[in-house]
Amino acid sequence: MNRKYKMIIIFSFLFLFSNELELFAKSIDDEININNRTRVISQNIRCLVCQNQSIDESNSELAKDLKILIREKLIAGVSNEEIYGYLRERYGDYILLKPPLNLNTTLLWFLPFIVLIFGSILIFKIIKSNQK
Amino acid sequence: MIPELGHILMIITFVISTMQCCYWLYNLRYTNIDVVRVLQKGSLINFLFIFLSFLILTYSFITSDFSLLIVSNNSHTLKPLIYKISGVWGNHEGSLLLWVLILSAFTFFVSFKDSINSKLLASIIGVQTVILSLFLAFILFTSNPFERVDELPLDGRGLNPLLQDPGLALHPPMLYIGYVGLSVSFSFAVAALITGEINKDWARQMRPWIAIAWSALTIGIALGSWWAYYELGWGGWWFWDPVENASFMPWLVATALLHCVRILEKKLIFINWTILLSILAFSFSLLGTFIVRSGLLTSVHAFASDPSRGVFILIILGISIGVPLILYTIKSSSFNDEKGNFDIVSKESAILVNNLFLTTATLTVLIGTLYPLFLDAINGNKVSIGPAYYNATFAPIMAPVVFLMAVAPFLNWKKYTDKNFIKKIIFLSAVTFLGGTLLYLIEEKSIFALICGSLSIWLFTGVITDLISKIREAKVKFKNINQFFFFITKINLGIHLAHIGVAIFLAGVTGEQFYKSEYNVRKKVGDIINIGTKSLKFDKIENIEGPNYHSLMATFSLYEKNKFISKLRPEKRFYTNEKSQTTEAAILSDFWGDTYLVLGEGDNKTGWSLRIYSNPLVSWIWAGAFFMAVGGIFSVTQKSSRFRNV
Repeated sequence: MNRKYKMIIIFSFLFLFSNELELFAKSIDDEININNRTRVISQNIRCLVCQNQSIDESNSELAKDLKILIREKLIAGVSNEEIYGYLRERYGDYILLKPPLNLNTTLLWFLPFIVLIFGSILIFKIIKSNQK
Repeated sequence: MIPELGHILMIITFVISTMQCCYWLYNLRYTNIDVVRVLQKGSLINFLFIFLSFLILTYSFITSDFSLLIVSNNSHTLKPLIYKISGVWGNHEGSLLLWVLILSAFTFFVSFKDSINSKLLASIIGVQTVILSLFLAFILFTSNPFERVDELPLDGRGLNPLLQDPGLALHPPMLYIGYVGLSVSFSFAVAALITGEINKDWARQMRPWIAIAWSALTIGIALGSWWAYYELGWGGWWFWDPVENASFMPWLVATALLHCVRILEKKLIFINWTILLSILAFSFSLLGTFIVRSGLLTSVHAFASDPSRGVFILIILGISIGVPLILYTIKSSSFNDEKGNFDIVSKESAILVNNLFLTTATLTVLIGTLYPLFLDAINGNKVSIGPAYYNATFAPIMAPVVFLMAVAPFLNWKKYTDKNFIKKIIFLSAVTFLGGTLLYLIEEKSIFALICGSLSIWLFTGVITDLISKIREAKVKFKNINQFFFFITKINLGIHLAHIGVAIFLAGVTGEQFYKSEYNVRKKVGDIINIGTKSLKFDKIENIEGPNYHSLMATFSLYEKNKFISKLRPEKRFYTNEKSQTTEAAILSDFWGDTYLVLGEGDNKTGWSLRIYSNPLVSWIWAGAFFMAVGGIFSVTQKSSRFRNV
């Protein structure tokens, strides 16, 4: 068989299975995607049995189970927000390392910036009053 | 018999220091040089006695005297000598004794500074001694390191294996020198409130103490971070852990103070603010010392927690923070600022803005650390605050600080006179733009990576530009070593070193945070793992006996483009006495980054799970901190106002 025929056969195979190949490539992409998303979520979930660690850093059984759970949910097509919501419902706000914005955490999120704004006004006044 | 001597020495010191406090308070209205002489002698005796008592405790640890409770709880005959010694402060009681030892040393050194006027000096020693006797009382009544056991155990229980590390020998002492060093500026501030006198000399005398404490604190925090990085085995270097925050808050306030006090050296403005910062800096140190011990917050440092000591801690905090703050509210109105007379674009304004951002940043860390407690107390809700919170609040508050840090040193005191200011800014922007573009082209990461990296380049260029223009202005010829030192003080090299340290640190942060890669694999002996341009060959895995542990040690060969670089030997150690296990990561550091290898679970049949991190520029983080600390030490020698722009 000369080279020409070889190429034709290969290309026809490629053509025949192009759909499968595309799916295969996509599945690898998905796999990487799922891994990355699992990690990002894990970094924001507290390991409840550890001392101040995220489940991403922890090797405890609970952390392992939760990581598997998150992975499975991601494969099933659940969104990040839904997973956070699900974990929060099961374990409470305490499990989220990035505290959600609600009535309880208003002060936490806004106080630094409020202080910064008022501080800026104050500093501006001080500088003005010290001008020649 | 010997431990009892240590105990008695501490009791005597407690009595002497309390008498000293009474003597100082009694003579408060008539302080003169004679009163100072008496207080000086007292602080010398206190220092000597506490030092002796500390030596005795160390001796008990070295000789494994298990009749002492803390020795039997924290030591073991098989432990290597260095960990027997550093084990002295690897527990609550011993670490408090170290704290008190450093406090008495600082009190002793400051008390012999006769260049401080005697009225002020008497009060400085007085305030230091009050803190000393409070802490001695705390040790004697709640945490006596010389307590005996009823029944002599056969052997000690050993030290937590995580603490059996050279890090323990250095990290706590440096951190404590930083914490306690801030007591000196605190005493300066309280003494000023008591005597009602303040002048430029007060600020000049105080600044070296702040600089020393700040440098030690910088090193202490950096050592802790480095230790966590190589010991905990998950590759991070800062976790926003409550205890890390506790050491970071005094650092931030001390940084603000170190800048602010320079204004006061020139002109009597912002007196009250400087006093308040001095009080706050040490208050945060105290908070930091006790946050670890109160058991209020959980963290990796929980070794020392014991809630029963809580009431005593509250009393000490109440006296040493509350009284000065009350004094401040009463007396601060009696200090009147001069009129500043500075332009909007001047060093004074820049330092004020620096102070605003640094104090807001401190507040952010404080809120993040204490909010869970606060919320729990208010309505019982529990909330966790992790890195994501600080990335969203602390980072944007600190970014302008770094931005300003590059240009503020260009400015002059009082007046906007530098005609080259705009030119320098244009130059900086151009270099940063080029650098940023290059960074973007090398590997595109998030916008935050670009901001962080560009800030580092911006600052680096800024410092170099400033240094060059200062050298040009100085016009000094180097004929001998004295001229060289004169030159250094004239161009304020300390500032350049510290600021370039921040630039190096930021470069490290950019590399570690945004450009690191992680590989999780399961491999058998003989397998090859590819990581970027490097590859690892799994050579063998074997059992090794250490002095007080068994170790499972794997050996890998690291190749770069088929060229052998080094062996890597990650371990899992089983400490039999302590019945616990540690993972010892194998780390190969070079200028451009680390290869970080952790051995996980597994067996020879199914393979071993391995975690490999490639951390670009990570060692720059600690190198940066080192530069900052060296800069701080340099600034001690610098007598700024005598040479420049007077």
